[in-house]
Amino acid sequence: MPRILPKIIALAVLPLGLAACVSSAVEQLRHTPVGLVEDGETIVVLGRRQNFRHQTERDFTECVYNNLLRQKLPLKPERQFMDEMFPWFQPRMAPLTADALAARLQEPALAERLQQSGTRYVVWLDGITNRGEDGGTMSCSVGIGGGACLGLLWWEDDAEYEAVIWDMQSLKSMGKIAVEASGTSYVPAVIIPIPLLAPTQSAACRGVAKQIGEFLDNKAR
Amino acid sequence: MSDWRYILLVIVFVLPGCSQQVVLEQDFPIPVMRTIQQPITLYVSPELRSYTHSEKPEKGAQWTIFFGESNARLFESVLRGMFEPLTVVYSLDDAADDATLIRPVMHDYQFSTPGMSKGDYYEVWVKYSLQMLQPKNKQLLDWHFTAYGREESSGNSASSAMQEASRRAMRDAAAAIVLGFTKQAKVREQFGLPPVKR
Repeated sequence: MPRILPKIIALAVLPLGLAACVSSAVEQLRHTPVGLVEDGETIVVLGRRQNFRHQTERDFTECVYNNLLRQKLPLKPERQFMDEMFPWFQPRMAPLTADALAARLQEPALAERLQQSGTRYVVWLDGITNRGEDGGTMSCSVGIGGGACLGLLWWEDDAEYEAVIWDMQSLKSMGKIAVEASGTSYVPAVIIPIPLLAPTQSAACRGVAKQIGEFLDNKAR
Repeated sequence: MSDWRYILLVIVFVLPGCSQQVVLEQDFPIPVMRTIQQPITLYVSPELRSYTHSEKPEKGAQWTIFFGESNARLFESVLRGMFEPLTVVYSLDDAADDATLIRPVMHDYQFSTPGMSKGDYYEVWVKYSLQMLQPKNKQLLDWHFTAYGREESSGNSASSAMQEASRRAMRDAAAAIVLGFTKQAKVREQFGLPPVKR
């Protein structure tokens, strides 16, 4: 076995033992007690798309959805809800506040459809993960005998998300969850670049999903 | 490596970068709303059914977007939710002489890719108009509106992101019609609807 091989294997295995750190803070503002989800009722998780500068990443919305599924909450897929209520939750028309929702539901056809659909709670997710400062250098070269890299790259990711939960029966906002997470990722390279990625968005997702689970209780679980 | 392997490499890595084709095959839900009990006829013109957008941006691949039947499906679904009964015709000759005709026209399709905008999104703008005719050679209204859709680039192939952005733009067009068409004074007059409260 060539002498370099154990070193390469050691470098490749290194990321398994290392991980970049993420710090996160979650705040909860609750207007009502825990919301009960009765038999036949569902929860829908929607990503806000109205913001001119950004739209909530699909990855994040899916992550929160999957986390809530693991908490055994009865969820309805976003696309199914959007089709059932078409086009009233399209970005052009979606109500921005619970009061606007109440006003919109003055339309009898819409109120009737909502009742038929069994959607009891709507969770709106808004926010984005932004790339912050970055730095470092890395140079790679390729020759006849192979290639190698040397150097260090790093960058920061800042995640800021907000979840607002609406009770579609009382047409009131149940409360708000805000999460901020930041983490620095590194890619050191001695021959092979080894990415040590900070799971910033995942940390924010877990924080939001855990808090949503505290807002809503499935009677059947 | 044999010559054939080089050719295969070129086909796999180079050719897909030369052109992108997107076929829109969407269906659209019928809008949830109070239906106006007035007969209308939707005229789907051959131009609307065959609309294709082809463009080669300064940077990036050649794009071709085929709308196919998706435009017809969009307008049929929206108008079916708004008016009852709805008749669909594909030739003006098939429309009754005294029918109130709605003719959708697609005027423009524009897009932006992350390569063009230095942003994170594929974006699409579609400009439509709804013409109202009664009888079929007299235009009462030509109402223009623009629809917008975007989709993030990460986690998507270029063509599927463009397809999703286009789908969202068309759903936005449906929302624009539901919000705006029956607010037009000519439409309210034609169907005997009370004036919009200011």
